[in-house]
Amino acid sequence: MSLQAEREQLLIWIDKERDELVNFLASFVRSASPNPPGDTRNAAATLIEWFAKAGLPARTIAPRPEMPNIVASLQGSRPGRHLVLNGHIDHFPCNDADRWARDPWGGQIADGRIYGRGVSDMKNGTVALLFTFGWLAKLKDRLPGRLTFTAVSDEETGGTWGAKYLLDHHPEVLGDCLLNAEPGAPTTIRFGEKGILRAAVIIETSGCHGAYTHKSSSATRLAARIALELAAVDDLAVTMDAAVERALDEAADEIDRIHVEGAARLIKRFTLNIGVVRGGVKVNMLPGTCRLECDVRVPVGESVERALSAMRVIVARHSEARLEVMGFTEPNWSDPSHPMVGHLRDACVRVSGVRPFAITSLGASDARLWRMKGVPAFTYGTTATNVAMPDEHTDVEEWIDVVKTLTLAAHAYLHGEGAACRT
Amino acid sequence: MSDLRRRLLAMIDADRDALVDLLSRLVRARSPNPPGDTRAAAAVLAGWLEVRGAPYRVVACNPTMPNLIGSIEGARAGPHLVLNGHIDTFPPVAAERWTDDPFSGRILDDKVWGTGSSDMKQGTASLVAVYGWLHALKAEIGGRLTLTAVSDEETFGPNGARYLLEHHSSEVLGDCLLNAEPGAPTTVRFAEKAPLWIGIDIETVGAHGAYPHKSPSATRIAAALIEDLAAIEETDVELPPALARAIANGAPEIDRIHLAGAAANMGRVTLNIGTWNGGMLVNMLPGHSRIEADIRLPWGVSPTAMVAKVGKIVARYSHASMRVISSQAPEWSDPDHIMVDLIRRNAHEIAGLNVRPIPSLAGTDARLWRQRGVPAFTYGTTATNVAMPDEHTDINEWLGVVKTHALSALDYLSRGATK
Repeated sequence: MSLQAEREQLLIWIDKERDELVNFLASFVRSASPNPPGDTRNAAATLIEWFAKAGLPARTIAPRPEMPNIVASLQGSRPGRHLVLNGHIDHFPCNDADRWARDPWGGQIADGRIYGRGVSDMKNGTVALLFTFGWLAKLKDRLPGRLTFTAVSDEETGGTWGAKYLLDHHPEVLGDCLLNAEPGAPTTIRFGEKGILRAAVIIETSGCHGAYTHKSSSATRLAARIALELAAVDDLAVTMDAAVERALDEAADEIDRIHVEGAARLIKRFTLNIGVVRGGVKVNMLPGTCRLECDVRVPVGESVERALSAMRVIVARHSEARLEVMGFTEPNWSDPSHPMVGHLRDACVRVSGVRPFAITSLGASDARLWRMKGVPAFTYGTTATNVAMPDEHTDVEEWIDVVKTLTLAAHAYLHGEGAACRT
Repeated sequence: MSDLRRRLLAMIDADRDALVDLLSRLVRARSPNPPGDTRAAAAVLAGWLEVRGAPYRVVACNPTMPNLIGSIEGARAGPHLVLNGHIDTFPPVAAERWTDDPFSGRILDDKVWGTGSSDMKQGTASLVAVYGWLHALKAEIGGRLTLTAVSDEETFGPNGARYLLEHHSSEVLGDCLLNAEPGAPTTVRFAEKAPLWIGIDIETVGAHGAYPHKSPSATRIAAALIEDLAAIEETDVELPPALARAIANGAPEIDRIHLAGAAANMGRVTLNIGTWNGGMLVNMLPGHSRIEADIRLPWGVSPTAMVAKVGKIVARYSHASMRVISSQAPEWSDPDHIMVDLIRRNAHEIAGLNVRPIPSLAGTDARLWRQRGVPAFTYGTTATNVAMPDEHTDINEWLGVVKTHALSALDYLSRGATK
């Protein structure tokens, strides 16, 4: 069978098993796995059952019993590339069930859509990768290399017991390349993520009665001054890899379309958000404390340290203020001209006739953890529809095209089309 | 010194230990506000009056916040003097940093310690005692003396002095008010700056913190607005001559008592951003922020004009709206009023103090009388650690203030003619 024939075969299987795919996703949604609290055992059991039915071996790795991770591998007929597929089992909680028109836990199929909490972020992606694994397993005697499937828990709260744990304790999940299927938009392939710096500015003065403004400097007024000075972070000059910048410039219109006009400009810049301000107790007391919590997004190519040192310089001008780092993630990216980007692009054109753009993403995903270990990682998924909002859903037609794109791209990568490289 | 004045001082000296004990017990009868339950403290004061047969009654709009009112008539016509103090206190501040229990009422090192011992249980105890002594002398004095010991002062609440002035004004208004809030026994306060409280809300759509292009940030707008509001501190102020003179004459003493800069602030508009809050989570772009501003107006600046000025600044920001929380006009009484003169002479005679009439930065219930056209004056002890750990009152200084209160009230009532 030629590669072309294998591709045709994969597409035939996908179309044939379309109902099974849809029904499986619906049942996976019904196995609710909100995090917090993060107990994913029911949902993981649904996946385990699928492996048993398919006659494929799978392992459960559960450093926390209620947060199991599933790992499965298949070895091709000869040496080659090692591709890792990654999705998560847990999802956001649902605190607004009363505002849903559909049952958030019902997995209802209606109007060509599947509804439910977690269906878009990212049960549809995890199921897409699961079935990709299943179909490629049927071709394993013809495939070179190795394919590993990972479905993890604990993504929504940072990954300590999920992907982070696997990467630290089970290096077999590292691979040569990672394919992740978080939602975003099927017109984009995401090859990087902005970094995040969370830091608090704490202002402490002696404070006093509000009528005696000469007795103490005001923590709130200092905070306002510092907040305005911190705007300089928005204007920090950015050095960006030429290939990354070219990719983002090419995608500018699409980025603005997906994320509202202005996103394409900001994706290349540092942005500062003063997420929380807490100052003072009572209107007629001069406040002795004020706290600003800042969320700085660091563009791909830059470092958290750049933002942090700029903030330090500003805060150091004010003797009553200090800076406290709450947490950070460095920006991370893979080569936008990596073969996987080409495979996803070719597959997408073939499946839907649309040529997707390679972009970086504004939010964070587990893909960053592979990049931080030096493995090129790429994300391709459906439109993120109503994620973390009432009536989250997935459009079946769009999703099937994504499933086909992911499957064809994985297939092409394992066959070693283009040169394998690690960045 | 007249015989009457000598007898009054002798009564005070005879009651010295009882008086110190009264203050100590009053501190132990805790009355922090909020919540403002003053029943135990009011009972201590009522007990003092009952033992001395001085008339009083309880007027309580809110049953947990009783006010004591009592009046005595002199033997002949004369002016009506009203004494005013409050029974409630600030809530205790930082209990772990106190040397002792914040409500100990301990008498140690010639001081009485505890929350409210300075603000203003010493003053209220003094006025209650003065009322009791003058009751004993009422056959020999003129005019009318009214005592008001009120609740609900610390939160500018409606259940205390405001309630009495609204519902019992013929009884408690009088011709002159003497209030005993702490400050410094070297000053008699005849005026107060006026607090103007304004709330400003900034509302935007809000968004995820990674998408700052999707919505203006309520916190960043608030920061810019706060910076702009600073302009009101530069408002040109033309002080009435009496105030300008008093501030100029009192400047060194004002700066000594309230730290350098206080005299300059007397004649200026000051801005305090008392609270500034916004947002819920660090990674969400906040759609709401709220600022509460406490603006203090000097004499000659009207609240209406200042509200308009703030309104103009707020109007530059389309996402911001403002609301006046509380507004008062700055008032003052005549610094050449007879009561000022009496206090100065008596403080000099009793304690050798050179007392200056000055305005005050902070507010007291005295403003409520001024707002109704009654000259009102405040004279009290040093405000020691008010709203701080180890608040206390020096007993010797306090006894001088008590005697000054007593003699000034007696002198005022003995003049025999209304104002």
